[in-house]
Amino acid sequence: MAESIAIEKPKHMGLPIGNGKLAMWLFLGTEVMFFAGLLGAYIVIRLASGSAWPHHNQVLLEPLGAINTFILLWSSAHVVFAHNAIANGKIATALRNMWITFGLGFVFLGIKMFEYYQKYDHGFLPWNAWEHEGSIPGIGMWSATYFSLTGFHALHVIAGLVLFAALIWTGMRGNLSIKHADHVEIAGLYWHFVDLVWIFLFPMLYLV
Amino acid sequence: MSVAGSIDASGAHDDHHHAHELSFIQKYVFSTDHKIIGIQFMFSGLFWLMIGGLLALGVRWQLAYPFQTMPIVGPLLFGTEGGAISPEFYNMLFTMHASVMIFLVIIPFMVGAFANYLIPLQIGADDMAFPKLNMLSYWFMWPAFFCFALSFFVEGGAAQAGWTSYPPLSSLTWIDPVTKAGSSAPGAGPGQTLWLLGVTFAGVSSMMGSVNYMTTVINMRAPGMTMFRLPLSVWAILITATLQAFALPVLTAAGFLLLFDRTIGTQFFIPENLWVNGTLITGSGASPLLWQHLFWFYSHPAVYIMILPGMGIVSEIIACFARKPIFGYRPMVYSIAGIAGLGFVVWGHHMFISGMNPALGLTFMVTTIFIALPSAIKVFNWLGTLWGGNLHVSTPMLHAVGFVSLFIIGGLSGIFMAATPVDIYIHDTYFIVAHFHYVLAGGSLFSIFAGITYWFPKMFGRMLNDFWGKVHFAASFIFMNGTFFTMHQLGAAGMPRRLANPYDYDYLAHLLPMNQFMTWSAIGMGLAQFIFLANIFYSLFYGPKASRNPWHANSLEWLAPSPPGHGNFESVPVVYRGPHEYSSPLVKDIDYLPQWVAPADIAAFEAQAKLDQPATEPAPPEQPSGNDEHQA
Repeated sequence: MAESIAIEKPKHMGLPIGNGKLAMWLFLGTEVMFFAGLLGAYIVIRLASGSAWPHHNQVLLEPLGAINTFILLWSSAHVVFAHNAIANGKIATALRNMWITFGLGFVFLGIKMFEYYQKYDHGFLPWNAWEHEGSIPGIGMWSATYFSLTGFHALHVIAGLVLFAALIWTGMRGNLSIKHADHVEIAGLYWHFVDLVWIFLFPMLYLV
Repeated sequence: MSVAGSIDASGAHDDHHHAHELSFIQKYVFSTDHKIIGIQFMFSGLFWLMIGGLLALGVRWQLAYPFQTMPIVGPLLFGTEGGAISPEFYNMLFTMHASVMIFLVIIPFMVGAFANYLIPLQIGADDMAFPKLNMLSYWFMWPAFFCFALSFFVEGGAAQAGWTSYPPLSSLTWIDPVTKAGSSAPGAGPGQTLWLLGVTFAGVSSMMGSVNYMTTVINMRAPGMTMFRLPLSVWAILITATLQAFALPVLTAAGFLLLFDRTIGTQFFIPENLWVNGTLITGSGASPLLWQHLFWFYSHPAVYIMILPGMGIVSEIIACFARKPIFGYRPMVYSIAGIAGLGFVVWGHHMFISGMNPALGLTFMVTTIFIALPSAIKVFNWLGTLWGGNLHVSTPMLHAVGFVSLFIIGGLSGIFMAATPVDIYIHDTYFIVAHFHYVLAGGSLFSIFAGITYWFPKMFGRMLNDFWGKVHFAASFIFMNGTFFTMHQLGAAGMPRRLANPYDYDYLAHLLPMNQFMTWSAIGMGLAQFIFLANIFYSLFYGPKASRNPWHANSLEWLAPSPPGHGNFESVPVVYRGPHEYSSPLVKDIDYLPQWVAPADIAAFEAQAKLDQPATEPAPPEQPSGNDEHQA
């Protein structure tokens, strides 16, 4: 009777995935809720503003947003290649793919910085909330939401880059091995999430 | 590498057991041991409990003796005003009382102290899944402590906008550059910003903790510990962690937006064309109601974050001291989950008079009243467990039964608030103050007392004094009811909350004697806590030594030594049955059958337990103090 209950190799009960991956999934759940709060606030403010809201053509360049979407999707693909490579023991390929992801993350941030500079140049600033005669109606509120949403997203991009920097650093010292497949997958999960947030932000800010 | 390292994938470390010497700092200050972290949360919680209690006594003093000199502290704090509390200071008192009690006492106690201490021990793990993350979750509380403490000393004092921090009161800091006017209230200065920062740090701490708890409970259970063999305390903490993880980020997001309103001049929560002190604030505003929605989306689940772990703790204690299996184990689990799930869709009942579509009000009313169902299942199951049990009236049991009785009162008064038409009358009166103090001070606090007295022998290897424990319970219970029960009458009489001097209104003037009675009860309740603290600190050093299983309980923590060493168990325990096998028919002469006893070993365990019985009995309460107590 006891034998039927006791498990052959008594280690621990639980899901057949590692703690790290489980924790990352749970953490991503909290992140989803964080952005749900921000996006929910954005939708409510936007709908309540009615016509006092700038048209996206007045304030944003669609091509830049589209390019950034493409860049993030591209970088996500290379995470998958990197994970596939490291799981098969191809360390050099994995490292190369992570470098590409890392670089594309920087390109994304660069384009974002250029966009921020343009907003700054036009005076579309969140602390410009008390509006003046002649400014676009709702521009203060718009820039407050724009900078909050994209700013928090950019912070998450930076956090993802730190994760990849740690892995790449391990690889450059020659310590990357097949054991790190889980690490690459966990960093990849996070990166896909960052990507996914942008997939929501792009249409909501640039297209609608 | 530290980031990647802290989300270490393998998780299965087997190198915990070689005993390397740790320095004092590593062992007790920057410890990664879940037990030490839990105890750290407990002691900082007790410290802030005293601060929060003192703030409450300030509120009570003002309500009993409005604008009269406060004894002792009054002349020190407000010498210029003759030692009396100013209305602004009164606002600060009730704001900070609630904020301290919620964010620095009850939540850290429930999901910091108990969750940390109990999860690995009760599931049979050697530590949390991520010990370093666990340590960080405690040390992220310190910036919160710092912000809250500092806010009392900045210009304008601590936050004064209520613990709910409704804008625009909480969102306007700033002085209009043109007219030099525009500050909404004296307390809307840096104190409110520090409040937001403190809440955010506490939130980050909770978030790290809850991800860690969920991972640990799901993935680190001992062999044989299926989900439905988990003690109810672990179930409650797991579900609470889920609530915490998925509700809290919304408040964090909202908190950042409010912080932007206060610091960089956005207008997320400032309405259009608001007049402040004679100045019109122009520009595209947004909605103060938006804050209320975002705030309560977290803060209503937070109510359950504060009570569900208490329910789990109380379930364990009642089963243990009634010497019966918990009545309806699975319904208990499902009802915790039901309360948590419904908790996500009822936040609007805090906003019935904020302006709301009546259809939406009806929806929130119905979902709120649904919560009475799982709550009633729990109460009846506790009563069913007590019914016909062999009751051992110990201190933890008294606190647990006290919890149930006070929770019933608090739960019943909640139904009044849930009904929209009734709420319109009693909203923001003392009726609501009575209600949430019955569930928080009566419910959560008594479950904290129950938990501390129950697990103290395990935590510190010594028994608390049972006699003084009972005195503390009796005093707390009586004074608690003396303080809060009468608030129902005040509320029904229409006394609003948050008024520095309600007696300015003729229709409230006759309530003064009742308020004085309540204040003296509150002072009694405060003094009673010193018995508790004295008992804890005395017993830490001079209490009789506790055996491994002083209460003859069944769950895994009682297999470990008291106090458990680093790594908790001598060997990985194997679990054979549920956590509440009290008075099992499988044993004749003892009335408990722990989870770790293999079916083949039951007879041997029973014989050994009978031999040990006299020695493991808790020491009699009238044990003389200290000097003859040096038994090995």
